[in-house]
Amino acid sequence: MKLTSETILALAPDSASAANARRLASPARWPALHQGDGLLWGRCQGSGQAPYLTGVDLHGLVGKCSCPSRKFPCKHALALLLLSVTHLDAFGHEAAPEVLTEWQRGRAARAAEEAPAAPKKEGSAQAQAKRRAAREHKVSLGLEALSLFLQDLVRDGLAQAAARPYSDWDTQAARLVDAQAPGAARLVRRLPELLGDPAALLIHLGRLALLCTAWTRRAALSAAEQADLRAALGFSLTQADWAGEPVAGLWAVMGQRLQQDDDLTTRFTWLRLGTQDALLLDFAPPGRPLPPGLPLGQRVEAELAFAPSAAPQRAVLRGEVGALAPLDEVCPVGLNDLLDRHAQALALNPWLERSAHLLGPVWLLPPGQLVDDSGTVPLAGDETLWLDLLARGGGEALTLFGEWDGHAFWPLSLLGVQALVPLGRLSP
Amino acid sequence: MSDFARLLAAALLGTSRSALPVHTGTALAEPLNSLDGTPEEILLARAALAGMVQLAGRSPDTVTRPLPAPAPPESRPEVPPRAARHLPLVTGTPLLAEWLTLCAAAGWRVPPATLPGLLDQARRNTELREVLRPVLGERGPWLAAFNPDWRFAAPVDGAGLAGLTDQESGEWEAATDAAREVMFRTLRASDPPAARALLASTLRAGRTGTRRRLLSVLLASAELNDQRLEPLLEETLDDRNAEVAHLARDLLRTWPRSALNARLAARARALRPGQAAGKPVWPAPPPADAAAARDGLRPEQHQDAPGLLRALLAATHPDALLAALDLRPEGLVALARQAGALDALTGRVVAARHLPTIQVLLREEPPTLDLLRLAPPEWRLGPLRGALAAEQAGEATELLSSLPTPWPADLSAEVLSALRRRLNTAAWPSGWDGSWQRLHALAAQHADPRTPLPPLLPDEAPEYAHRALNELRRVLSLRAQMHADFQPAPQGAAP
Repeated sequence: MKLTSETILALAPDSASAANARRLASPARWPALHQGDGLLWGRCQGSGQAPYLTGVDLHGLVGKCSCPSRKFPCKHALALLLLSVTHLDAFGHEAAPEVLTEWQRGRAARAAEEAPAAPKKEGSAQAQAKRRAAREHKVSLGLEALSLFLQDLVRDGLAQAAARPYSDWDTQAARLVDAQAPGAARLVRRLPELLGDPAALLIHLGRLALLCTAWTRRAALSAAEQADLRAALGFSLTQADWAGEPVAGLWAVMGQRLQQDDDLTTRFTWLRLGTQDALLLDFAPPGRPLPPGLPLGQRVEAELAFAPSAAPQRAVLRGEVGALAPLDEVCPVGLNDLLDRHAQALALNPWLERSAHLLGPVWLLPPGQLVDDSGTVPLAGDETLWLDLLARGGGEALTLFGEWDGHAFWPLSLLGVQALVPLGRLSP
Repeated sequence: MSDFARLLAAALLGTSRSALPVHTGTALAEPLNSLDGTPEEILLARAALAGMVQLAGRSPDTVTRPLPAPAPPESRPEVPPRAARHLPLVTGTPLLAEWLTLCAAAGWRVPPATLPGLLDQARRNTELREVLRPVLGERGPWLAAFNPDWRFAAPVDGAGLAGLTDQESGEWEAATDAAREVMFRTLRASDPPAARALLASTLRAGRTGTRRRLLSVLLASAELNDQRLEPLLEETLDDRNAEVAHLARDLLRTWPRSALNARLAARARALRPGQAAGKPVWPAPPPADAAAARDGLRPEQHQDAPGLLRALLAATHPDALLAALDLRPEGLVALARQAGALDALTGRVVAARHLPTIQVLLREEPPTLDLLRLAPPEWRLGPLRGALAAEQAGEATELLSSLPTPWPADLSAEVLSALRRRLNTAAWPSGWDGSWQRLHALAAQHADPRTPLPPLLPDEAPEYAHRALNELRRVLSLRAQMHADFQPAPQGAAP
């Protein structure tokens, strides 16, 4: 398995960069193209002025370019990578200019020296404890009010709930934000959309009630369970939370997706080592590019620190990723096993929103269902997604990597004969 | 009733009006019954437990429908990566059609993952459909059957009476005229015989608006096999709607051997002038009658013979005239000149793309763009070179626009150097106006890609000129690579 155009374009910080990179991926735009010593480099003809000097360190797939773009990797670095896949014959073997070899050496040296960053000091222990107690008090007050609201709802009957003015729900959510429990606020905001489905509404209310009860009795929970509860309530993670022993190894990059919210772009990247899944989240405010992504379908030498949890999932990279290796043996599971795995994770962390699975062999039943010999589950996403899967699979069995959110499977990548390919159509 | 259903019933009413249920006989009954607190707290706690059990205890649903049959095995090979590499670069650009044509000529099919994108492109751009069809492989039509938007590419299954399936007949009845036009277009692209059957039934019994729209579609996309419709169209000449009858006439005159052309040509034969003292002597025109009106001749055109002949020259297919009057094209042109009706003849000759007469007109009359555009390429080269030398971009574009792609090598080189010359000397963007930009786009897409690239401009040339020339070089070299990719690999080359 090696890099493909699709996996390279998946590294793009946004779709405009991907489109521009494809336009630039023509040797005619590159008066010089060379490779050697783990480095690709070339000069890209801009519009009349001196060409840009672009280099890509294949160790980590990081680019350096003399262009003024603040996106990383820039369109020139992406185009250079694309050319190395489509037009390797156009590359010569001239030595790279000093500025690039210097940069490459610097990266290698930094990677060797990389020391784990010392946890930042966050004020004196006393001040910290005081802040923490103040916050917990606020959360307690907020959840007490929520609990009373929930009891009101079931006392009056859910049949009456739809008649409440919209501001009721809004006020409740706003109070929870003020009480510094944004996770609970998010769950309350979902209530109005469930009013038409009493069964789902009751389950959702039960979930909120469980959150309140768990907070009141948190002293009885283990440290890991408390961490899961705090994450569900929306406490953000601090440096100290990441202090656990990192897990080093060749992590397989299995799937990636972008989530576009009003004021934030979030990239979900799923890694896997043995049976352990890890979820990396990267954030970018509107108009700003995401940090460079990891190459899908490759294994990367990396150290991951996990957030404390009874079912560890959320993780961060420690330092830079090292050598790449092709994906090795993978073992897909059927629908029954997928649901089992999810249930086991829920038993450890009842707040778990999603888990990741390599599912196969499964068949697509249009529109939007996945089928294997144990039955069927819904497929998330719109018709574009399942038409894409049908086109690639031709109605034969598929092996998919994706997320299970308790209701539907959301495929992120497809295991083909040659490679793990990202799903979702590339915009022309 | 399940535990959860009992809880839901109680929750809907509210704890103020109903008692908490007692759970019995289920695995969850014991833990549910043992929760304590106020009735509200208990109900919420039970809902949390039962909800979590539902979520975690979920098993796959039962499959109620059969899986679709897999796509049939492919008969032509997939385009090799070497040639496929440019497909993502040209998708959504004007070069896509050229890539697809090259792919079809090589006998290959497109990679399956590109099918949805290509079918979407062809849905928006009907011109792509014909070039896409041969490279869809077996999977393309199979896939298209799952999406109504791609019906133009799906296999047609059991077209029923009048070209429509039962379900489609229902849709047809309910559709507006505009929607019917779309359905007819789709059917015409996917299944011309079915479309003809549908047309036949509609012309006899359909709404006026539908009749008009369908005939317009037919006129815009007429093909040889449509001549089977002649009896039907002949009937339509009596249509109660003048516009519909007019469209039918326009269609009938495009077929040289149609009865309409024969009737018109016979009228023209009766109007041939005699000679007296070197001057033409015109016979008296026949009176205007119902048959003439049915063939599209108006009473005021019957005032004198030259006037009627003029109307006939404008309305009759040249082949029919040549046969009926036993003339060569030179004779036909002379006759038109005598009647002062050269413009009428030219109009019909251009519409019918009648090359022999076009050549005579070009030889004997000052060439016009209309005629040149239809003339064989070698006839166009002189005026084209003149336009290029005179830097008349608009005229050059007109003359080039109907040449088959790729243009001849020497002509391509001349166009490219004219473009470069203009870019190098036009000091202001206003010297690089719409007509030059059109010529630029046309040359990038249609010049012979093996033509050597125009050299870069000197550094002092303005920014827009650099950009335009770079774009030209980029597209040409991309096309050159595309063409090279589709050449058979040299013997003994590594796979």
